[in-house]
Amino acid sequence: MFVLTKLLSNLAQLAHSKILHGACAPFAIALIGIAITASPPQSLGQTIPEAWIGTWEVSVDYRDRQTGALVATDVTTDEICPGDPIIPPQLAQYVRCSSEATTSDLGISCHNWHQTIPGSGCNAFGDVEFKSQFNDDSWVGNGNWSAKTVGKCAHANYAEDIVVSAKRISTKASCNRGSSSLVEKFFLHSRLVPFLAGSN
Amino acid sequence: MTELDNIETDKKGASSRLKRFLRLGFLMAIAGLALGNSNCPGDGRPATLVCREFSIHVDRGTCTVFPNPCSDDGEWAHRPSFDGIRLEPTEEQQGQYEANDIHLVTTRVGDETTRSLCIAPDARHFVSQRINFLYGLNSQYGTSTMFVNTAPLLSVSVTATPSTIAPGQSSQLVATASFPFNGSSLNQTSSVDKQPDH
Repeated sequence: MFVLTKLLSNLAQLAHSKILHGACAPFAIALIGIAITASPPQSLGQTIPEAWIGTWEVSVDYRDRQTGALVATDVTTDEICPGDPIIPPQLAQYVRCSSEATTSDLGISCHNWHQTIPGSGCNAFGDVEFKSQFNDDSWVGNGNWSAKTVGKCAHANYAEDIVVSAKRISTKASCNRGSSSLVEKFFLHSRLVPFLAGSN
Repeated sequence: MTELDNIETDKKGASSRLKRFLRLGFLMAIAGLALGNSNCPGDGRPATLVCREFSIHVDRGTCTVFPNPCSDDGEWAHRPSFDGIRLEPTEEQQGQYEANDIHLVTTRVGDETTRSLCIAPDARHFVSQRINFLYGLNSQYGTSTMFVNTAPLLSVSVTATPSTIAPGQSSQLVATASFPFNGSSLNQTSSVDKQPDH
């Protein structure tokens, strides 16, 4: 038991040193969560239902929560293929996320998380919520993601609102480019990039 | 319960504890690997991508496409690679404009990616405004600075009439400076009759 505690403590300290420097805080936070709670990696979650098949033009706006300012817009035209995962499998290893997909709704939720990092006095929080509705050839939704550290550590704080509006420009999709998750295709946020590396 | 049953129960319990321990160890190994390899910008490791400084002109209310400043050919990443770019202004830079003034747009169609810098219609004018950016390619990253201009470009045309002259003759030199303003242009013309110097 002592060995386990020691290992957890070391890992948390390692994660803490990352958080101190800020840029990767959201995922370091999630990683600490995994380490402390020792939860097994989540399954791949839901896959895309048959009704969503087609070629879509998807626009995603990311707005700074504090200022409301538009930070980035991603406009992606790509296929949505039935059976493709919603969350990238490689991300599911790091973050405790769940997803749901029906013929009319799609949601992603990465658990509210709070942890005091052992021996540091540093508290980390993380959250992702996204809900959307699918209707004929349109797909609209919104959500947010946030991560912050407070206490005896450098205070990193990220929070963005997400707005999605999409239209299906064709019900045809060749779906022959190999399986790729919905997040990788349409929600390729710059802070996700390091964690998707080597996935293909 | 017989002694044999007790031994069997103890064995099962030990096996279960061992499995839990191994599972936990495996998870920590994955997490530790991710922490060690994520190459988070700002974690003290040096940037491994070389990014160039560049200047960009964007009219207010429009967007201007720009090439990848961190690749030799200006191309953005193609699958299976992933890339991303974001503005990372310093506090001093951020204090020189409004948060709403500027944003990035990424457009992906199949494997083709273009990126643009956009300026809001009501933004202040930017004159060589320094803005730091960070580019990530898979687990590598690089940083540099862009210089953003929104001020209308001054154009100057110069003519000589006649354009060729013989010794002793003179030519009228006319310079016209044009400055775009409210959809038209403001012009300032200056002329001088000039004889070649002997």
